[in-house]
Parts: sequence; structure tokens; C-alpha cells
Amino acid sequence: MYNRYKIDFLSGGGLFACSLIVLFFLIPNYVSVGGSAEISPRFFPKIAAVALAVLSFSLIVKSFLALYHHEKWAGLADLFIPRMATAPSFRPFLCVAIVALYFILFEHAGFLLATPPVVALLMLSFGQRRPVRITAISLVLTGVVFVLFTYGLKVPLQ
Amino acid sequence: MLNELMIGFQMVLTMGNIAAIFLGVVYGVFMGAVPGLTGTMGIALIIPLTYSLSPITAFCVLLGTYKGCLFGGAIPAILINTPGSPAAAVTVFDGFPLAQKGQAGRAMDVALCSSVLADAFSTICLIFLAVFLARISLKFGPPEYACLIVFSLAIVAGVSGDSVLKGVMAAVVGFLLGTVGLDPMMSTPRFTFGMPTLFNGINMMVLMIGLFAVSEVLMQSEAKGKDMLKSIPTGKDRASWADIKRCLPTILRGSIIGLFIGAIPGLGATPATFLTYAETKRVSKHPEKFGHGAIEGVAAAESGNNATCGGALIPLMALGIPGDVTTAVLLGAFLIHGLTPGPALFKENISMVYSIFAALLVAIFFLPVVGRVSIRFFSLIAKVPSSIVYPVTTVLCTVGVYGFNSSFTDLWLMLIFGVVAYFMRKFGFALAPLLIAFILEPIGERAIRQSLTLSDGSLSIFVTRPISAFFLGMAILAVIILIKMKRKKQIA
Repeated sequence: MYNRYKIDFLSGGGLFACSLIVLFFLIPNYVSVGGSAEISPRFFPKIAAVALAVLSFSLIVKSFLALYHHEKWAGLADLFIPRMATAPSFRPFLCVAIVALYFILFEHAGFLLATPPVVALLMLSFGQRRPVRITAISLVLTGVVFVLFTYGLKVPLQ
Repeated sequence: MLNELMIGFQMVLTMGNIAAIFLGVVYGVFMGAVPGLTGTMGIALIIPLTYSLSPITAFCVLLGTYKGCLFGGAIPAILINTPGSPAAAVTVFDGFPLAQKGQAGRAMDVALCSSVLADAFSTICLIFLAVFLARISLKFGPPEYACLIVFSLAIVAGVSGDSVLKGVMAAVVGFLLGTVGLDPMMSTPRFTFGMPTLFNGINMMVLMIGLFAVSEVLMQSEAKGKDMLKSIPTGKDRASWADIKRCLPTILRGSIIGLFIGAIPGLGATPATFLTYAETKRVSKHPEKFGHGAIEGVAAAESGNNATCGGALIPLMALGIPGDVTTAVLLGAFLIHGLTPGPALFKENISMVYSIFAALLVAIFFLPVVGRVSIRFFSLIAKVPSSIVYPVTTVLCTVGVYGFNSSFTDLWLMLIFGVVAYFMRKFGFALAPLLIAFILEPIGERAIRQSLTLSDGSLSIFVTRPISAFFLGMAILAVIILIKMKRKKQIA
């Protein structure tokens, strides 16, 4: 419960910052003005950004109060030090890095060359350790998907 | 109505469409049977494969998938004590104890029979109720639509997830994302950053696959090495006619509850299964047997679960409002295929509406065939290691999104949405309100702005027309009830 409040405090803070960026930077610079106030193109983005600011501020206050009541008994030492509900894992970040590598390879080398090594890397990152299985699945998957999309669905993958 | 339905059957009963429904059901059962792969993800992943198909064939695949997914979750729930979908969690309570007693085949038979009967009941109700509701909604103008969407957003944001505040915040983020693209009234760019890809707004396919498939891959990447689950053999025992007869009242109860809960925007299948199970246990003469292998427990969970299919499609078909997150993805599929569900669809494309109803009815006949034949096979599928499932999923996400526009920008956006959704899930924000608000924003914004143009900027247009005032009142009532419910829960 204690960690949940810390996460809420941080996510509220992050979203509050995002809402301010949208309100004071993105809307003035990337949404043009036009018509009366009610039907201006800026009307709905502004409403959404203000609502997000108010709601995220409420989340900050709510979680801060919950944390404060908790900390009254435990001391205020680590009030602002974030703690995740579960131990942080590097695997999702590794996965994101592999997928990003896949997109770069796909763009520059094409689907057929990019897919087998990336599937093999992903299988390794998910704990697969059998080389034959890794090789077979990465090659078969690449072939099947390529044939299905290129010839079956007429969607070019190159 | 009967004539239109016959025309619908004529359009659906071609070899191609029948094969599409069959393959959809098979694929759906597969997606439901593999723990971690959900129906929502299954439909999102198969939409790219339907790009080149005609809308009718595409919906044959998609609706078959939807029905298959709902049943598929029961297979691992009974055989490996792991629900294939959140809604199948209740099936575990009695399904797995039955399997441990060597009655897995009996439990699977009852689950299948309950699913098919509840599905048939809810589909027939859908046909009558959606047509009736659509006739009423033909009278809707922009103010009525605007207030209906406000009402839907109020419910969806409130009931999704543990925190009302976080649900509303997710909906607001979705609403904000929905404003990206050309302004619907003036066609001036909003948040497009000079990228022509964004002129038509954020690609719905990109958002759906990013939110549900990529984030799932990232979530599952944390659980490395947890995929070796022991399966109980299905055995040769079968449910008797007496078993089915004993479960019929339970199935009827589950069908009604599932239909009703499914039709309320935002609730979905999981509360329907819990409610049906609780109600069946309450009225049972032997409530002590529940949780220890009561066959009625399996029937209750599965009938409640499958009846939500027809229920959730009622507001989607008649009003264009998704009943749950899976129907939100289906709504996306409608829009991708150039169809707008709601009264306009009933007015302009009635043959399509009845073809969808016909496809749903045909799918009912495929479910027992696929379910019966493939239970043993799918019990093996349920054990496919995550080290194979998720790399394959990643490749399918990539080619699916790339195939839509051949755009690498879309791929990067998908990854960004996947990472955002991953953190949202870690931080306890529900994804459903985000997607539903994103889909409803353009419809709602257009309706509100048209209303304000009609009334010269006066907000009174929303309260002086009876139907719009009714929906606004319902929205306020829904918010009050939700806040009270959450407070009660906190006190308890």
C-alpha cells in the first residue's frame, strides 16, 4: 500500500508536468486558433489538458496525504524516494531495445534479413536456450509471415 | 426483420465466409487458450490480416475470433489451473478441482455446452434489442449524441480499474490523443508536428496494438521461466445428459446476467462471471460444494462469460458505443473497414448489419465443433512456452502495423504506446478508458461542436432536449453511484 502511494505520487507528478507542457507549449505552438471560443480547434485540447492537470494534481495531493499519514509514524526520511511495487526488472527495457533494433534493421535491411536475428534475440531474452528451436522458429516464422503477407494478403514487406 | 436476416444469411453463407468464421473461431480458441494472450489482443492482432478482405468476410473472421476467445479461456482454467483470460478466473474455482478428480472431460463438456447455449441466447437477444434500440436512436441529433458519449465516458472511466481517479485520468489522456490530427470542423492541424502521417489522427491500429499487444509482451518479459505448467490429461469421461439438464437453470441465469452486464458500457465479462457464480452459489441447495468441484460452478462461470458477447454488441451495433474493451477494438475494426456502427449503419447499410447477425449465428454452430474436436489439442497449446509466444507476437505486431500504411513512423509510435501502456499497467492505470475515450473523442467532439453551432454557443441545448437531458442526468447519477461505491469499498 505504501509503495502504491509513492507510485501514485510520482505518476501524478509526471502527468501534471505533461499537462502543463500540453497547455503552455504544445497547444499554443501546434494548434491553430480559429472561430469563436466554443468551437475553436483549441477548445477540446485545452479542456482535456486542464482536466488532466486538475486530476493529476488531485492524485498528487491524495497520495501525499496518504504518504504523510504513513510517514508520521515512520519518519519523513524517504518520502520522495521512489520505490516500485515490485523489484525493477531490466528485461522489459532489453525487450524495448531489441524491438527498436528490429525497426532500424527492418527499415535498412528489409524484413527477411531483420526478422530471424531479432526473433532469436527475443527468444533468448524470454529464456529460451535451445539453439535448434531458436534457429528453426526464427527461420520458419520469417518465411511463413513473409509468404502470408506478400503473396497471401498482397501486403509488401520490403 | 426475417427477410433482412435471410438476405444476411445469403451474403454470409459462401465458402469463403464460412471458412473465415471457422478459422476465426479456431484462432479465437487458440488465443483464449494460451494464458497471457487475451481476446482483445487476439482481435487487435488479426485486424491487419483483414485489410485486404471484404468487410463481410473481415467481420466473419473477427466475430468468430471474439466468440472463440471467450470460450478458449476455459481450457487452461480447467486443465492447468490458469485462466486463459481474466473472465475465465471463475471457471478455475470448480473446473480445476473437477480435473483433479479425473473429471476434466466432464468439466470441459459442461463449459462448452454452457458457452454455446449462453452465446445463442445472447445473440438472439442482440438481434432483437439492437434493432429496437437503433430505431430509437434514429431520432438522435448532435446534442443527444454528445450527451450519450458523455454518459458512456462517465461509466467507462469509473468502472475500469481499482481507482476512479486513475480511470478518469486514463480517459482524459485518451481524449487528448483523440484530438491529434486535422480539426473535424475547420481542418486545421492539431499536434501533427508537420508529419503528414498524423493528419488523419493517430492510427487506431497503431494505438490498439501498442496498448494491448506490445505492453503485454513487455509485461510478460518480466516473468521469464514461468511457462512450464503441468497439465492434467483431459481423460475420457464425458458430461451426461443429466449433467446438462441439471445445469440448464444455471445456464439460463448466467445468460441473462451476462447479457445485462455485457450491455452496460465498461463492465465486460469478468464482473458478469463473478456475479453469475455468486448468484448460483446463493440459490444452490449445496453451496458448500462450490469451490470443490461443483459442475454448476463451471456452468455459471462459462454462461455468464459467453453471454456478454451479445450483450456488449448491443450498444456497439445500435449506438456505436463499445460495451467493453474487446468491443472497443471491434469498433476500431469497423472504422478501419469504413463502417460507422450506430443508427447510421442501420439506416445506410442494413444488409451489413444483418450479415453480421448471420455471421454471429453461424459462429454459434462452429463453437461446439471446434471446441469438442480441439480440446485435447488446445490443452497442449496452453503449454506453449512464453519464449515462443511473445517473440512471434512481436513479429506479428510489427508486420500488422507496417502493413497498414507501410510507415515506419507507425512502428515507432506503436512502440511508444506500448511502453506508455506498460508503465500505465505497472502504475495501476486501466487501458480500457484510454482506448474508449480515444475512439469516442472525434464522434463526441463533432457532436458537441455541431450542437453549439446550432445553438449559437448556448449550452442550454444539452438540457432543453429530453433525450440529451436524460443522458446527462444518467451521467451525473453514474458518477455519484460510482463514488459512493468506491467509498463503501474503502470503508469495508
